[in-house]
Amino acid sequence: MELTQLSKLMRVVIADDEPLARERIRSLLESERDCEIVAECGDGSEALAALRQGSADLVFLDVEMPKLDGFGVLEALGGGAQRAFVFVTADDQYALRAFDEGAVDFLLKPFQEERFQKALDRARAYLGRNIDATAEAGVPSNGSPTYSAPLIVRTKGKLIFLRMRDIDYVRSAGNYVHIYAGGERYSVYASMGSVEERLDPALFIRIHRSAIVNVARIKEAVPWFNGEHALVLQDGTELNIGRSYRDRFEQLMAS
Amino acid sequence: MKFSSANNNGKALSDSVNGREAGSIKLLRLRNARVPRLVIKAGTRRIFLQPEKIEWIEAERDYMRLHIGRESHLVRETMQQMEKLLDPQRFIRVHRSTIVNLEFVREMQPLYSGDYKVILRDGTELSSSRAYRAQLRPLLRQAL
Repeated sequence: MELTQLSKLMRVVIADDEPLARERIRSLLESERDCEIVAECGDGSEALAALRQGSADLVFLDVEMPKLDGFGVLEALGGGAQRAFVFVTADDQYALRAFDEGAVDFLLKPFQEERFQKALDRARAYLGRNIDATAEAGVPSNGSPTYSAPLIVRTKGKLIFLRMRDIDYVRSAGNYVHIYAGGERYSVYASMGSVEERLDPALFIRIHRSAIVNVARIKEAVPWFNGEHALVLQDGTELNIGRSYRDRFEQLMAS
Repeated sequence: MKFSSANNNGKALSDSVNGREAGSIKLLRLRNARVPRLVIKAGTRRIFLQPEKIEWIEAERDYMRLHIGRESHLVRETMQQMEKLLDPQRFIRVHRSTIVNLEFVREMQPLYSGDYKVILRDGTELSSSRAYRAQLRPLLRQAL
């Protein structure tokens, strides 16, 4: 059905006055199945018009462009819609200002493919967070319904259907993974990775080798020892944030 | 015309229409609305529904009964047409005469025959039949 396809695509606008720069981004995006290029613009005012007209989720924005520069576009838009901006420029003097203006990333030309992937991942994380915030209210941010099928666990000869939004957190212990939902604990013989890939990435974040949490259940982050942090959930559960998961967690909170 | 509905756990059925006037249904993307709506035309009334609010659907002769909370709406539609209108990720045909919204499924119990008993969150019990297991298979394969 068209609805589900629409909801998964990130609508992308590319704004750069150099055709070759646009082509580079376009070709990199071609292999991304969740991206759809909705506009390519050769100057700032075109970009502004495109952004005002249509709904875009992600914008690759050059800084130095004729008519209106990248910062000018941002200023003229004046906030409002939730979009991820990635600044793309050959001049690193703009980096600080870009982040100041709320960019999710800053790509310095020429950039490698891996670096571009990282920018895309940041944009995904940023947009995922927004989708989550509005999903709680039952209104998807991009105007289309998103749907993840329930997680099904086998227990006592039955198949139990757990809705994503009902799952509080997940912990692993040895060869088992415990799924906590609505005060119940469901234990399955599985790896953490296999459980993680079944969870809706818009709702859950991995915070430890042995813990995944529903972002909507987090009550507070409190300092732990050695500069570490722990999360306190609404039901009082405390979960440690693993060192290697720290960055992802901080990214979630930035913006 | 009066239809009785099995397995509805004594829900107060407030038919939107009686059988004679059972409406046609169509999926409408309302201007300015964020989500598509199903619109049931029932005589001079039009009833707007969010498709994902439908819990399950059962066939009753030439009609479809849409169950939504304590209400149900009767529409003159075929299973095939109904399936086309609904999100296939969310709505699964489990039986010749039953479509169910996965959001409202609490559990499934395998039966010796290879069929499943499907229990909804409100306790309603439905049954799946092997003939429609193909639709369930991708889902069940993901079970942990």
